Amino acid sequence: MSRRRPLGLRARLVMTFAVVAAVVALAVAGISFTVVRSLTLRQATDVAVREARVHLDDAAATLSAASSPEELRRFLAQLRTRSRADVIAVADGQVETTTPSLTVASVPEDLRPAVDAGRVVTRRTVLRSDAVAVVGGAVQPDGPAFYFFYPQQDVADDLLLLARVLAATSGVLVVVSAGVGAVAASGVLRPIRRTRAAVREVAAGDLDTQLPAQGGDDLAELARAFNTMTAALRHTIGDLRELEAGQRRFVSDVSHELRTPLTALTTACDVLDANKDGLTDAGRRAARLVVVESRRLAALVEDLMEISRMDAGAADMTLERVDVTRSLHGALRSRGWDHQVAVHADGQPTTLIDARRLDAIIGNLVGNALTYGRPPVDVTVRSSDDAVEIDVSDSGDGIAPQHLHRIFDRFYKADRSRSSGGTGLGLAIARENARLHGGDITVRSEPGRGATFTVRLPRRRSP
Amino acid sequence: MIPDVAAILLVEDDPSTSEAVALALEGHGHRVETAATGDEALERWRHMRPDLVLLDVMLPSRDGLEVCREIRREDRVPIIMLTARSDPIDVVLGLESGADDYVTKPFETRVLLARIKAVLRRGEASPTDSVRRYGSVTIDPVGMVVSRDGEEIHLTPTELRLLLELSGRPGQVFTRQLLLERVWDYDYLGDSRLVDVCVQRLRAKVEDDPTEPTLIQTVRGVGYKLVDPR
Repeated sequence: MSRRRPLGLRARLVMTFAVVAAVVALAVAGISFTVVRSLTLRQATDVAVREARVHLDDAAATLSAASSPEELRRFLAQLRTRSRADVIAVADGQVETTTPSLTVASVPEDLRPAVDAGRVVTRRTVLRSDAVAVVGGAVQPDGPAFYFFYPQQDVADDLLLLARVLAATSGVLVVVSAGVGAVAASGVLRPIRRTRAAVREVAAGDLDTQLPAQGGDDLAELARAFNTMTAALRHTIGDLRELEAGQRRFVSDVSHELRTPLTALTTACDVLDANKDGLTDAGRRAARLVVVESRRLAALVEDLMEISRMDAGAADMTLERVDVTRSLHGALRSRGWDHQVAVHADGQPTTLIDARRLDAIIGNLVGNALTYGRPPVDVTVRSSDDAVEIDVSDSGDGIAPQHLHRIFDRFYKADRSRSSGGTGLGLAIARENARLHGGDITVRSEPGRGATFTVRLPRRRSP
Repeated sequence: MIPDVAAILLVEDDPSTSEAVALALEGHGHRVETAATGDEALERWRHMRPDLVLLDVMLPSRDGLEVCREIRREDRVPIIMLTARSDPIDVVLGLESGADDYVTKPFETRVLLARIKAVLRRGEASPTDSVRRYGSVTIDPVGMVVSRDGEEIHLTPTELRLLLELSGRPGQVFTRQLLLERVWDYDYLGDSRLVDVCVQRLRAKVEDDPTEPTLIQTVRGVGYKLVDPR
């Protein structure tokens, strides 16, 4: 199995085009060359043979087996002027040539028996690095044998030129094909790139992304399928959002509608509370319950409204430069907790925050520590260049690990049997308040050793 | 001295809330008259001339903001808005219409009583101070009169108290929280928008060019200060 990274689509397309072009070009060039070569050479050889036969007929008319060496020499001298071939004649022990460079050794070995047998034969060979066609024939079975060396170098040169032209053409073809492959790859890749970009946009949440889908090819089909998919997603997500917004609106509307009767109720309860001395004992106890529960109901509605504002992203922030330690003391004092809680602070860090939201966070966390934990309850302020951190820790039983990660969930109660009097939304709101500042609240606890909630508020450079 | 007991006009369209609040206020000695619509509110106000108006924002016929503007045209009577809406813009609109303070429904009676007391106390004169002059503006703390170029400016008790506070120590920067404590009697965490809107209203009345304030200046990120133009 190859461990190499697979080539990209573009490289693969270019390579395929080039390879196909090379194979086709080489095949065409090879076949053309072979055919042309064999035709050309045969033609040239045929001409040589015809010419040689004329000279051989001449020789047969002029010479015989009994001709003298002088006659042979004379005939050859004539041939030198009449034939474009170099000629060598071999008689009994006599060798005559038209050119001194030619020797008996120049004659291909295998021609001689056939010539001696009286046939006219031909052979292509190379003589002193030049291509030649050798035509051999004898005057009579026992007469002198003639070997005509017809030069074929021009033919060979032409063929070489042809081969070069064909090779060059093939090379150009391969390069052009690779280029066409690259262009084709771009043509294929452009829609693929577009599709990839569109997919990323959809992944990033932009469901309005559309791909151009012209024509009827596979890529257009893909684009159409993609557009159908985004439309379906848009539809589904639109429905979901509408549903969610509707639910949030409902919670907000319900809380809102509850406010008016609640105002009447809580105010009437306050009147009842102020006049409880005139009631019987049972009436007083009932009044007490009504007063307490109406306050709890009011707190719950208040928290529901707050969290639905946060859910709707409609929570407003009023950022001010706030002395964290001072507001901490203020938050504790305003709730009458300043004698139950110890505050530890290094310096007096100030930062840009929404003082009300900080107050709400501290009120919730310290309130929880006093209600569910055990004293001592400590609040520690730590300050660094990029954040202010506030620890709220108690010394109670702590929070069991299975509850720890769900403690910020809405209406989640670690101890279901215990009625807390809280709304069940306090920690969720506190965490949202921290997150509105770009911070967060985390918790750590060991059973039996209390719990520590840490508020982290990043410092802001400007409002 | 303004008495602890005041004549209060309660404008509230929900009959139960109206009755409960009236009961609670009367339980603390206040004299309460009620109105259920905007038109009725204006009619009652003209007839009654109360020491204080408690005004619900959401009202039939004319809404609370309109009623507030209408009253402010003629009177400096302290107005506390009762807002059931969570929309923060409502609070700002209410304050810009001329309200002195606001209470969000549902409220605890003691909170409402504390706000009422604080607003009424703003009308009290501070008898020890002498007349101050800043440019064209003259402030007489004893007579509770402010004039510009000799002409009296009509300030609400809250605006007047804010101006007195700032002019008590010219040049000193007052944080919003400090002003909330001194002017609005919030001992802890008042809404700083109360200060911002009131400063705007005050500037509109005392500055030559409210968009380019020279007397009451903003100290960015901190609060406000009064600068003696001399």
